[in-house]
Parts: sequence; C-alpha cells; structure tokens
Amino acid sequence: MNARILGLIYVTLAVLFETLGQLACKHSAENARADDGILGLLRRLWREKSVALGILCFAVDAGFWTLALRRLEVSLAFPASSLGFVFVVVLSRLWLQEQVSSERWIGVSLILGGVVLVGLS
Amino acid sequence: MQSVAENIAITHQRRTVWFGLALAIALDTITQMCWKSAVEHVPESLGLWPSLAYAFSLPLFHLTLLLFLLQFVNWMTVLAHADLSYAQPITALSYVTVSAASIIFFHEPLSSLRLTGLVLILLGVWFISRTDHRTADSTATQQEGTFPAEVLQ
Repeated sequence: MNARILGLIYVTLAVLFETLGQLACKHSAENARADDGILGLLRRLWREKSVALGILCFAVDAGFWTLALRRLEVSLAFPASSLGFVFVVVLSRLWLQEQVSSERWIGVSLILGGVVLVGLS
Repeated sequence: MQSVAENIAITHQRRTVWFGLALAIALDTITQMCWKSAVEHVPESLGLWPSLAYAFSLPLFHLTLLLFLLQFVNWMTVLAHADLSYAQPITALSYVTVSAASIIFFHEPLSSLRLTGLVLILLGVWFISRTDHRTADSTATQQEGTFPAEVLQ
C-alpha cells in the first residue's frame, strides 16, 4: 500500500476516534448536567465512566494523528481532518438524536470548505 | 409569568453557552500559541523520547498542559448545555483567531486563499449560531426554568 493512502487511513482513524471522544464527552456531560454550577458538574463527571472512555479516545486519536503526520505533508493531513465536522454532525444526529436543520448543514458545509482552503493555503 | 421566566431561562442558557464557546476559542488560541512557542525551544536534533523529555522540562509546556485541563473543564460545561452538532462546528472559529494571532505574533503571511477560507468559516459559524443551541431534549428548558425564577423572586 502506498504511503499516501496509508496516511489518509490513519487520518480517518484519528478523526473517527476524536469524534467518538467528543460523543463520549457529550454523553457524560448530558448525564451530569444540573443547575448547581461547575463544581457540581465536575463532581458528577468524576463518576461518569464515559469521561474516561472519551479521554482514552483522544489519546488513540493523538497516536493515529502522529502516525498520519509521519506519512503525509501537513497541507494534506490538515484539510483531510476537517472530515471530523461531518462525522460529528452525522453521529450527533444518529446517536444523540440532535435535530440538524438545513441551516446547520449549510453552516457545517461552509466551515468544511473553509478549513480545506485554509489547509491548502 | 411562567413564559417570561422560561424566556429568561433560555436567554440565560444561551449566554452561558456563548460565553463558554468564546472562552473555548480563546483558550484554544492561547494553547496553540504556547504549544508552538514551547516546541520551538526543543532542539530539532533530538529523537522522539529525548525531545518529549526536553518538552516536559519547559515551563511553557507545563502552562500548555494547564491550559488543556482548563479547556477540558470549560468544554464539559458547554456540552452540558448545548448540542454537540452546534458547539463543535462553532469552535472552527479558532482557525480564524489562530491565523490572526499567527499573523500578529509570528508574522506569518496571509494569502488570498487563506483569507477566502477564513471568510467561509466565519459565514458557516454565523449560520450555525442562528440555529437552536439545544434540540436533543425538549424538557431541558422547563428544568432550567426554575433557576432564573428563583432569581426573579
């Protein structure tokens, strides 16, 4: 397999784990939410197993990202990582039952295009 | 009266979310700047583990780790109130602030391609900011309605 394709597979895996990490964090924040301020939130988060899962996902993400950067130039890896915005929105809709309106989709598409241009520049 | 309290609750919640997002973007920008400054102090001749060990000895790197922790706590408070598909894309604003800071502090050039990209990101964030910050749970605003109602009394 050539280095570029392998690199892009690593980027995709990194982005996937980052998204899973975000979903785990959101899941735990949702369970721990109440109206008693940050300290109350942190106390309940301490007992949430999905926080640890989220942090583990971020660590795996960092590992794959490092592997990706060893095979790809940043000018390709960085725009490719904007795939994360799509993963987050799709999975938030499927797993967290968030309502993604057309306005939100337009916003995410514009951001996606913008990040690709910033990465290519 | 209830609807007024509910409206105030939603406004209060929206402000909390926006403050958290602004803080997340600011912390992200400062973290990136610190990290880059820290990494620039590490000699390039070192291998992976020696350069990691060197980084851990730098106060700037300790500051970076502290910023990561602050960022995590702040991000959890944002996620407690807002949709992930609302909050996460909005943090793309940090591409704009990091670019601005790079131009100001590291004197990096701004190409027209990058400028176009940054304008697209700003537009996208504007679109998302117009949507409801919370759609997953319709009972949420009722639960939070009790908080400002106490303040009103």
